Amino acid sequence: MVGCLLLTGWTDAVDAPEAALLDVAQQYSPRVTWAAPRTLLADLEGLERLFGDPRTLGESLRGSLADRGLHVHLALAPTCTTARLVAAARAGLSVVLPADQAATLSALPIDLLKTLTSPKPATGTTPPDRPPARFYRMSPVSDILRARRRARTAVKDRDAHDGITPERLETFRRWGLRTLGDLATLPAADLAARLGADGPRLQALARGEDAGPLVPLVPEERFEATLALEWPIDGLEPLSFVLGRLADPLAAHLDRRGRAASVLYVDLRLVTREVWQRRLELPSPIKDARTFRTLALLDLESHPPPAAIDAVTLRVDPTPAPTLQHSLLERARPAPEKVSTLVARLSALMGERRVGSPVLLDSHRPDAFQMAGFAPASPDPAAASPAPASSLRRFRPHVVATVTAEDGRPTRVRVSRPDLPGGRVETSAGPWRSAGEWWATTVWDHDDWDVELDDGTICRLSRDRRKDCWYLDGIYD
Amino acid sequence: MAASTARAELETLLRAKKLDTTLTTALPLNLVPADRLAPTGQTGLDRALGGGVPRGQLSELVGRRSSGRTATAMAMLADATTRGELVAFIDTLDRFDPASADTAGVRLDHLLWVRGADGSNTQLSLDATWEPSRPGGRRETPMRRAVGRALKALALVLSSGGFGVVVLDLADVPERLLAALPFTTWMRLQRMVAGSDTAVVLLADAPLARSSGGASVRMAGRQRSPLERSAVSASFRDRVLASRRPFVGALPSASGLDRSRVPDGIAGVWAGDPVARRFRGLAVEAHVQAGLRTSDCTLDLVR
Repeated sequence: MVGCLLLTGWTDAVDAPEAALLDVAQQYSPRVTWAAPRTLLADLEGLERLFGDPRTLGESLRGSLADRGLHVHLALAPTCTTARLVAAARAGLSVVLPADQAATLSALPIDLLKTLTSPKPATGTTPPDRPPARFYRMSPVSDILRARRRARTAVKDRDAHDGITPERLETFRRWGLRTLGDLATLPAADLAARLGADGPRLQALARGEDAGPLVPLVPEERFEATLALEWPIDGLEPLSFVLGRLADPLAAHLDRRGRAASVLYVDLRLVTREVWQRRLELPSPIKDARTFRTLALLDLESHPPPAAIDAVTLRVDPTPAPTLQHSLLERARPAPEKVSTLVARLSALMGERRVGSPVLLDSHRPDAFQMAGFAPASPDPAAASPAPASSLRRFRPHVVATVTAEDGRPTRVRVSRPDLPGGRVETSAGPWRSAGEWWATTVWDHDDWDVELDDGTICRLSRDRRKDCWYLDGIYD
Repeated sequence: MAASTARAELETLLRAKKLDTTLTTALPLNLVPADRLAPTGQTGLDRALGGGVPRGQLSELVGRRSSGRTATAMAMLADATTRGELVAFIDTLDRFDPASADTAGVRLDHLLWVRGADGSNTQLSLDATWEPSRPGGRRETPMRRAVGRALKALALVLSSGGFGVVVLDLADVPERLLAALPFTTWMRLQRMVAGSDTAVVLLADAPLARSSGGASVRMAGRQRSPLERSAVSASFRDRVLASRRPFVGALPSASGLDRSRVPDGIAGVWAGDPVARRFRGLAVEAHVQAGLRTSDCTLDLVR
């Protein structure tokens, strides 16, 4: 048995009538859904054992609604479609038993099919007839594509109206159909021949058949856990126990729903009434409680709250949990939880942005790279085979060098640090001039030299042409 | 019979103490199965090593500056990442050059780069002679702190597991500072890596801490060909050239810049053929020691 509650009015005392309608319906059944604005469907199956016959149930429900100041058309019927049609047609309480369904519907006017229009707005938007003039080219291909697009849009619009358009009702009127019973008794094959797939579908609606099951509303699920502390805590060690207590049910909740966390939030309410918020982007979806606790603690070690903590909230942004398919042919990789924990521990040890994978920038500036999170992609079988090549050990920042030059060529290099190379230049090659980004503050303009010192060290020197000074860039090794 | 029983008991005790791999089953490299070796990516060195650097052991690449140790490590990382393995580079003094690694063929997204001392803040303090004394305690220098952090980072990476090759770069760290480390440091690291699929490679100026089953490669590099003493090329234009990517043959585009259409004086002309005149790479003589076996090989590391 399905109940349709069509909201028609309410008293002045009601602020949010639709919320009140939903609240009352959920007191009777957890399986409710909005069929249209102000039209609520409730699955009342099985309530006969509590309330007796359907009419008693309906009167109880209607009484509860009246107590809240809501005026509704209430229809109880075997199917959702029948309940909606009857509620739209009749005021007050209507009860349609399965045996009476066909007779009840056959007497209803056919225009009621308009009430079954889907509440969803049309998703398809009519594209402009033609693109902007400067991109427009008349060609048969573009005409075909545009026609296909229009056809798709028409299908979307038709689906949005469940096939019940004013033109279709006008057609029925010209055929002499006045009631739902007239439409229900037409031969299905002939109807399909004239109206296509819409014909049998509309006929099924006229017979009270549902196109699909009732899909109940699911309340928005929040993945968070909060613990208010009796006594403020100061320090990370006691906080670790609290975080562990919060992370366990949170991870279990995620696991039950087949979800994992993409972002972890730690909100600490302090004794100063402030809220200390931390946001941790996870490199891969994680649903492990120990990892949550470890990551939160490591982050709070680097960013400790300024005062004692009154309440702790742990929440996550859910995302579908990843499924890992291991390979028999490749070496096993560490689990994402392990990688995240490792990176967090290393970041806490070495500093922010000191751990990750380098990404080369599309720039000719020397040492142009940026740090990215460590998230290895799947191996590329077409990757180029490595070639042995000499490598540069780069000094960051450049080491200022004192260079003696003859005819513009370096002949002696001295640096102020004893752990770095210096001495007479045996051979040199260069310069290679390099300049760029003159439009920005990161401008560079220098000459590079490769020099071999008397102790066998091969270095790269650069002379800043703007400041006229020399630097030791690095050592080839 | 009694001897065999005593030996079995001794091996059981050693196994219980996790000392079995260091004393009883440390095989010569030529007897180590191929899947327990990490190839270096250089045929000559792999042949000398018997197939590669052993996994589950501490090995070392040592040599003076410009001896080719970093390039050999890059080749090893490149070979591992080409096989799809994850690799890590613990960079004690932040001297890793991503462009060089990319040129060597390292898949950078498979590389976990742990950057050590931030030189921008501690350039002066990185001077090994600068050691301010702490009242009533051991003198703590930023260099010493950087080494300590690097060792901790290595321990974290090893305990995480899943990495094929892990390189700890201790090159350019003063030897006296490394000698002052407790000797148990290396034993502890060896215990962590034992039995795993990770090959740990230390880069250093001098032999440091090879485990019994590991390999030592002492390298001595020289230039493949002398640097040409040529003057500035006549074709070199004065105020041009966005820059260069030194490790590739052809200048790639940067930010979509079309060099052929950029007028002189703004950016973008690659003048002449400078690659042909500059440092061309290293010819390296490597002395390999693995267990009691030693061998020599030569490597060719081009620019």
